Amino acid sequence: MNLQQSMQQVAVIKEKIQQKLTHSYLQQFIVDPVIDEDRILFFLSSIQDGELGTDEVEKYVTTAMLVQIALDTHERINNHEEDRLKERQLTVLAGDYFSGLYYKLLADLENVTLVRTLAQGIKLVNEHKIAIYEKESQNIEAFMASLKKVEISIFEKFCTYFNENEKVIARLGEQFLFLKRLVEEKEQFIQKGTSVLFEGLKKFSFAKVELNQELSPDQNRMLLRICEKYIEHTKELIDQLVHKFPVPNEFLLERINQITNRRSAISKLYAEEG
Amino acid sequence: MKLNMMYSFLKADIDLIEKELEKAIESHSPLLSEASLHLLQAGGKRIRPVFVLLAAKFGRYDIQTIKNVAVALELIHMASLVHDDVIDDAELRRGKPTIKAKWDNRIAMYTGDYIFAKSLEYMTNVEAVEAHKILANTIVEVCIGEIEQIKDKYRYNQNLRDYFRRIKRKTALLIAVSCQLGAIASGAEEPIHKKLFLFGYYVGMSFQITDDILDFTATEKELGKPAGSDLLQGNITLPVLFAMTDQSVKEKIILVNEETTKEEMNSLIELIKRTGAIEESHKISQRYLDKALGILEGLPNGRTKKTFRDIANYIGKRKY
Repeated sequence: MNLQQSMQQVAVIKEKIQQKLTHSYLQQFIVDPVIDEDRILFFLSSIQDGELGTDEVEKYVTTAMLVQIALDTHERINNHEEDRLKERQLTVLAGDYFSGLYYKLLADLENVTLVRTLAQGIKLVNEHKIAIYEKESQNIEAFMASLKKVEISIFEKFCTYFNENEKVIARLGEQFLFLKRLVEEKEQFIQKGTSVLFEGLKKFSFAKVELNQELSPDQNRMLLRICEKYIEHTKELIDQLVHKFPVPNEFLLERINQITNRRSAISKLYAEEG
Repeated sequence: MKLNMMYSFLKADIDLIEKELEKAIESHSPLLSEASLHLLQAGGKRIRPVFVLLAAKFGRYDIQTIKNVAVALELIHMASLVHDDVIDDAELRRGKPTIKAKWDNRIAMYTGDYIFAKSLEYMTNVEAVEAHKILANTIVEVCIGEIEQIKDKYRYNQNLRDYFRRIKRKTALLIAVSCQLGAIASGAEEPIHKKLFLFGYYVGMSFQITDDILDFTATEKELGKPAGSDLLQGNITLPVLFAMTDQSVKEKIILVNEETTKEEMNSLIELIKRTGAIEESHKISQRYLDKALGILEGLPNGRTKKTFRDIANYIGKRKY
């Protein structure tokens, strides 16, 4: 599939997901769910070479995306009292509704096994979300592993179901999704001074520092270096996998470059600003 | 007679379901297990599993198969309770701190999502695709019902149809499918499982109307929350809709908002009671109950049918 075809199919699926998510009342109050085109691309790439028809492929990708969007929607719920009540209430219900749609779509496709596989993914994501939120991990490695599991478990399960888990595309997707999350976390930390990842890094790097205590510039730089180390390592793995990729997917390779370049731009900006 | 005495012949299987529920909520995350167990131990009527088991008696009853439906439905109910407490900012449930109160909203969201996933995992042990289609549709409808409930809060110009559609989605559907799926999973024939769906639907409607009446007639101690809480939160229930047919009462009801004091609420409750709205609501609840009992007439005679009748009468006429 060439660049143009891939882009078109991603756009078609995105539109279908958008239709599924549309609910006039919810839209008035909740933040628009993010439909991550990269994720669509990887779900799509992981089942494209099989024997499924276009319609089925689109439905399966839509289903997996609904699961991810439902989980992401619930991630917007926090503990702040000052949150607008109706927005919070409808955000909870929107996530539940999107979860229901995933089950309905698969029940209509009469694919009970995939319901089970994705449910196992949802369980894993929530177990690791709690590990991150409660900072239950023993060290940075374990913390990073949880962060990665949160990002990739649905994709991983999806690939397992379609017997693609041993293929390059699965490995590449996992590393790419993790890289993207790392870059986003780093961006958020640079812009807002905090992020889920950096809160964890802070705890594991400076045992004596209180969680709400501000770090010195040197300490912040140290955390950024740790994050950068993981980004670099993930980037190296991606480069290795790209070379093993049997059939180059232009769109996919272009997205990998974009994310990598975005990371470089942020690092450069931060270095310049000191 | 106490509710659990009515189905004492199912005791061994209900105990098995309870153990399976405990097993179901075990997780690699100790906190997730603890939070889920906290909810499970708060108890509950377990009316959905009981309906599943009873309905399965109309087919080839095999507890090892049926337990999957019973556990799945109770877990779906539990997951929705955890999220409902975030929605309502509730501190207590069945006299115990809610998960969101004992931990926080985030933990409650993760726990609810985990339990929901676990419920689907159990359900996938059921092969009948029809059962999945029915349950998936129901879950979506229940969510739409909850969204509608928020949309309809403090909307005083709604009508009886709005109310009935809302309680159908909010309560009756899940009870109806508990009955239907129990029958489908045990291989009961279509006319039987369709009748059981209707029975559960009518019982569920009667149950919710009774619940809405009790919000005005039961004491704070019995309810575990102040009387009139539903109205205070903007939920327009059947007694309120009937009471609002009296223009002077309506003028007072539409002034209710989150700031209304307990004293103001108490005098409004008295006013609502004097309109005859409670009696009118009881009549509607009874009408649904009669329909449920009528459906039972078309089912084979026996202990199961009698138990269904006893439970229907009990939950339709309960005092709190």
